[in-house]
Amino acid sequence: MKRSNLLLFALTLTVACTNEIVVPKPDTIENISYANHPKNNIYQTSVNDYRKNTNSAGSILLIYKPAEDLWIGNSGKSNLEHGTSMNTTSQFRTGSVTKMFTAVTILKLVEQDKLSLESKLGDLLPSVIGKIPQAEKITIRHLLAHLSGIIDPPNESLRYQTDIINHPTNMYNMSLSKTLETYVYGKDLIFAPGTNYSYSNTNYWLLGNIAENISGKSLQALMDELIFTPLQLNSTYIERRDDRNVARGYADLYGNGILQDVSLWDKAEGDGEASGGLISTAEDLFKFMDGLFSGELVSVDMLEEMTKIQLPTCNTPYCEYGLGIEIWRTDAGTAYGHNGGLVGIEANVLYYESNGGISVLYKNNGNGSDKRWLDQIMK
Amino acid sequence: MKPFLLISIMLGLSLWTRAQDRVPNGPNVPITITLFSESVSMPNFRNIFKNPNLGIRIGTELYYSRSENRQLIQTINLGYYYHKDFQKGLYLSSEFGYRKFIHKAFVDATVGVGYLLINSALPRYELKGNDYERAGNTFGRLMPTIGLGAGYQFDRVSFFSRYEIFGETPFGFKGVPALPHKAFHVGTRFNLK
Repeated sequence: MKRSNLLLFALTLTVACTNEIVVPKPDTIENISYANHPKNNIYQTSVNDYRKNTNSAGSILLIYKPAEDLWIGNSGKSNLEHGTSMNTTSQFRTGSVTKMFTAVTILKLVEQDKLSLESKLGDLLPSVIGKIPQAEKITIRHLLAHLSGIIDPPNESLRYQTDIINHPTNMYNMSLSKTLETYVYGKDLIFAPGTNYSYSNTNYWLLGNIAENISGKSLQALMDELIFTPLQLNSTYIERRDDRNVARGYADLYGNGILQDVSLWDKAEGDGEASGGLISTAEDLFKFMDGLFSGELVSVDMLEEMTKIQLPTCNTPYCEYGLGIEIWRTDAGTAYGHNGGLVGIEANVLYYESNGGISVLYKNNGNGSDKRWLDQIMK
Repeated sequence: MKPFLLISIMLGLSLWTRAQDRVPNGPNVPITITLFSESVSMPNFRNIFKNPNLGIRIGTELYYSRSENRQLIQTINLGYYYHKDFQKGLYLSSEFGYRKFIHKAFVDATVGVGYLLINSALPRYELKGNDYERAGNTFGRLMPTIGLGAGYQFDRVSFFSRYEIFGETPFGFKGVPALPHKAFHVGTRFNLK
């Protein structure tokens, strides 16, 4: 073989040799079938269509209406590498659905008089004074309702986004204080606290830190005590654990229909964080919403505060946000809940005010999706 | 700031040095070798030396015109980089460039295109019928590239640094047409004669 051919062969071999990330094999988990539900065919068709229309590997849909039995359906795969089916009991990353759990945790601490909605960020976390502008004026309410004006690196900082691609393991291991120092400290507020609305994950990073400081417990221990155990959410957690049984996240990065496993990025962005680190199941999320809106978690007055638009001057759907709760105007009426998205997943949890229905929708493709079809089901 | 310092030092050295042969002697097909640090990034100089993803580029250049003070060049390059947990890239590229000599120091600007063979570290799956199946991890993309460099010419060898932005396109995630990369090269160009 000529020397030039040998060189070309060596280079081709070098690029072709795998440096691929290893996907751990998940354990076999139980699937609970709801095929005997009277509307199984209708609902199952919906979740199948949703998965196909969104080019997702897998999807889960939970439908609860007071006049019907609970229904959960699954479609596709949770782990393409090992051909693992998405099950009705599959655990998945919930993204920003986590914010409802963090908000409830904070509001439980408010109800216990350990802080108030008007407590100041600067008083609760003195270390941020001088690093986050007007920290002495930003309140717990501002943080919960995204009225603080603090920037949102995951959605606004190209540096944050490319750092996740470049060094996901470093980002995963980065402490909160280092994350704040790198992406938040020293940056101007977008507006004066309380004067406008701008969604920011930083608000919830800070709230998680505040909750841990006040209670002296980890967020996992705190949520366990205040939410998971009382509601028996046995498959839900926020701490970092072996995630082999958690549904993988996928994204069509090149716009050609080919899905790539981006779970490493989802872990780096979300796991363990008060803004988007919750791992749960459809049934546990249903139990959480049912518990929240039936008054098992917070008082009626607090729930009213949670579901109230917090920006007094809000006149567009964009700013219709309560305390950790998004307010959706759907064809099935007003709904309260949260959407969650990471690069490789999308989750959505809603409680419908008109009929007390609850929906949970999940897919493991992080592209946004049209969910208006759900309104027809939930009417 | 380090790249700026390096470039400044190179330019400063050129002012102290007596002018010698501004046009390199020897054959018209010099060999260029660079080591570079690659990352996915918008154009900036941030973290170039922090946790670098290393690459190597070997190439040559041809001359459309070549005078004492300037050169119009066409480069041909074969490069490779290893970006942990994301991809490996092997590319063949060609750039058109202008190089200006100031005594024995030089600056140049290039624009070009290449073909980038990517080996993804993220497993890939494609839809076959109703199911997703494993897709190959190696695929090709176009690679537009622009670069700015500065260096110092000795008799038959020059040393230089080069800042390059290149894209992999088509991309397509959330409507982004090209995934931008930056690369900071340190290298040498020499004649074999």
